[in-house]
Amino acid sequence: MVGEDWGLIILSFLVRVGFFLFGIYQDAHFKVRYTDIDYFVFHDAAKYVYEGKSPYARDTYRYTPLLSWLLVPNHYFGWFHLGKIIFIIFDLITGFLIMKLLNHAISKKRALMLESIWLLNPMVITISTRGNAESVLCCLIMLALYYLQKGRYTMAGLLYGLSIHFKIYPIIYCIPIAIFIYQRMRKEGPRAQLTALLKIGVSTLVALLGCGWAMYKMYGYEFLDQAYLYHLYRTDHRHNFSVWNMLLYLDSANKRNGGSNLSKYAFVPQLLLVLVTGCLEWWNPTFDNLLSVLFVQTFAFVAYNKVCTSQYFVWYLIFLPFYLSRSHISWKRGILMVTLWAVTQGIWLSQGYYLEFEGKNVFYPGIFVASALFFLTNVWLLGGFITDLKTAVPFATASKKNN
Amino acid sequence: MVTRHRVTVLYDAPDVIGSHMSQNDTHLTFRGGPGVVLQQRWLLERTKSLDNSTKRITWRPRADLDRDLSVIENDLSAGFSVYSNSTDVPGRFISTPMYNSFHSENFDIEKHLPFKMDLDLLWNPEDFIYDITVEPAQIQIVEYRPLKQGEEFTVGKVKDERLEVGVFFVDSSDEIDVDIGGIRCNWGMDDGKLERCQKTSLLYKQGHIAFNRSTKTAPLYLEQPIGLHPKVMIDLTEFEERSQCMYLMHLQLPLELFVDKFQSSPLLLFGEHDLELPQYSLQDQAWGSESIFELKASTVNEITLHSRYIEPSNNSADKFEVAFSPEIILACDTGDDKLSRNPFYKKGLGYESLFTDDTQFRHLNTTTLSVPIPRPDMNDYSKIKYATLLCLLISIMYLLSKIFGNSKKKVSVKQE
Repeated sequence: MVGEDWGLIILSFLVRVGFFLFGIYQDAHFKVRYTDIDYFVFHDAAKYVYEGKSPYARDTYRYTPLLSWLLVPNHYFGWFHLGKIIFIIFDLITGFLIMKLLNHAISKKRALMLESIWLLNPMVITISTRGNAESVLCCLIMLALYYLQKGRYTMAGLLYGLSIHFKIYPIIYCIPIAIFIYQRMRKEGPRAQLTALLKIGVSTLVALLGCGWAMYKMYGYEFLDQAYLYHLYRTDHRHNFSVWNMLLYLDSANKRNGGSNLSKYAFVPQLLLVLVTGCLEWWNPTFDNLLSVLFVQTFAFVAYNKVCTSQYFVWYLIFLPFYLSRSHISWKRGILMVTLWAVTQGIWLSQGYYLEFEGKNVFYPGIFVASALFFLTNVWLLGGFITDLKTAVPFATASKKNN
Repeated sequence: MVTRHRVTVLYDAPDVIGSHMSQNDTHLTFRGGPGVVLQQRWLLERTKSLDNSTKRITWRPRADLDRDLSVIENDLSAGFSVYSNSTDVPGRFISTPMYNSFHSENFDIEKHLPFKMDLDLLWNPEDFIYDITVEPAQIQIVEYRPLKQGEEFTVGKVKDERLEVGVFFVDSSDEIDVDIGGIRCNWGMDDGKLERCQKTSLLYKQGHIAFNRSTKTAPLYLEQPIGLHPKVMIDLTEFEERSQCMYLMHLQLPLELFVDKFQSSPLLLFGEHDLELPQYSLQDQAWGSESIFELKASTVNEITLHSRYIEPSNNSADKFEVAFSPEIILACDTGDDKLSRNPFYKKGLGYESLFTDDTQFRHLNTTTLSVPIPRPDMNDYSKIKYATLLCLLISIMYLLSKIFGNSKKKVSVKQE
């Protein structure tokens, strides 16, 4: 860490403080609140916890109780906005870990620019300052990867298990992580390979099952139902970016009349692509490549998910600095990619606006075509990322020292 | 069994009565005019009542909301409502601490008043208002109708009923007390002849009064354009805070609309308020929700509602609109329990039972609002299905070819 790094962290902190204070001002003086709707849910749930009750007493609280525990200080100190500061801290630690994990072979200027993709990204900043808990999960994942890089597998596993406890999706990372460890320990023989894999595997399970068991003991079936099962049986009929969305809506309405349920199999292509992209680690099993593979894998997961809102983009955004540090995509092509991503998203948002705020019937073709275009753009980007990843070998050899 | 039948006609002024009324040996005839209201009440005794519960059924056609309330009426909510304090109610009822209720746009009287009644009564939901109370010992049916210019109403005694007719005009009325004067007539029990009419006057207190709209108005409208989160605007800028009083909005929302209790903090909210589920997965569970909001005087109040996703149509030309009628009420504590009942109506089950007996309701405005809810067309289903499938297949083939195919390695490797 040099002066410039600390400078960036301090600047990031100050910007977040600015957004945070503006949020308090906006909440007090404007009709449209700055604070995220979910934050009210966390805050209310924490109140029940503070009173010794279950966080699930709050309708639509569908997360691990741990999250509500984090916000108990809100009620202890009687300050509604306190939890946002906690989220900002997690957000900054994530930025700090990105700095730590970014390969130092690149120029300082480039590194600072890439770190800013997280630290000075207005989307990231608004997410944590509005009180969205996504930064907690991002921080856990980054921390797990940090210990993985250091070779401290037990610690990495515990954190990784905890991150799966928070939101199930990081479970997809187990394939590339396992490949990475397996290949890294190759020189040390099969015994060391197995030990390392067992260490991280068992500690992951201990954290995941331990947390799950503890929460189940404390809050009973409601915890399992609300935090996990709900995500399986929910219908997701409300409009969102996902290409599956219209079909899910029509199928859920059609259920009564015995219609098709193609949308039930939404997980199949998603699972297939997540498995296959995860295996991209095999051909170039470096830590730097692992981070890029996680980027591509998460991108595929989000693109094929049956629900997709802009907060999901953060899931792959944490890996973008690593990916870009090794990318060979030209500036021109990069700009084209970003533009297409933004334009197709903009088309969808315009349709979403017509539906949501003007009550126009734009379900078909409007919303549907827009989400299909956005999906196809994402797929095209994904194709570009994969090709790029496969050509990234020369640079990776240079970075092997780092492992 | 003898049915007690009572007819009340209310005119504006005493001299109007003379010119609008005629009689013969057995019948009285009334002619209508502006503002003339006719109330009929039947009391039927019940012999074998199986349960001890009370049920109230009310009906008011939407078109009647524009008419000003007269001093012999209570203000009923638009549409068909059933309130019951029995715990044994059919499905789709919602529960409140005081009653279980059902609400609908259709006058479904046969289903909810399944008694064989020996009564010569023709239901006319298009024009008439009904307020029916079923108690263990008796059934009371009250019917209101405006007697318009050019309309006539003739009444005479029928078999097995005791008939009484009152014709009144308003002598004086203030915010609470009403003085009405007129005549009251009875019929002979055996010969069915009009026996005698005598002068009479009644002094009573009102539980419901119409707010005089000529002095102040409380506009009620939806913010335009109407999206999936319709905003009800209630303009109370002309009204001031009053001690012992609260400005309220009473809402009976159909299932297609709901209140987010976390966002808009209603005073009371009963019924279906799930924040996520579509209308079609809830329709067997509840008819909707009932809520009361407190409003602020001297300002424009904003209450945000949300619409649920609804079942797709089978024809894109079909527009789906859902109507509801918010009631803007000034509820005041009077300290006088006497206004809970008077010769013409008494407070019963319904939102009024959620307030103390001495509460008086002043009705500022009730307006029917209509919310269009967009919905997809099932005729597009196969297009959507195959397009989705095509997108997925193409994307998977493309990505697998990228992953497993030979990528051109000629990409120039840029040096850092």
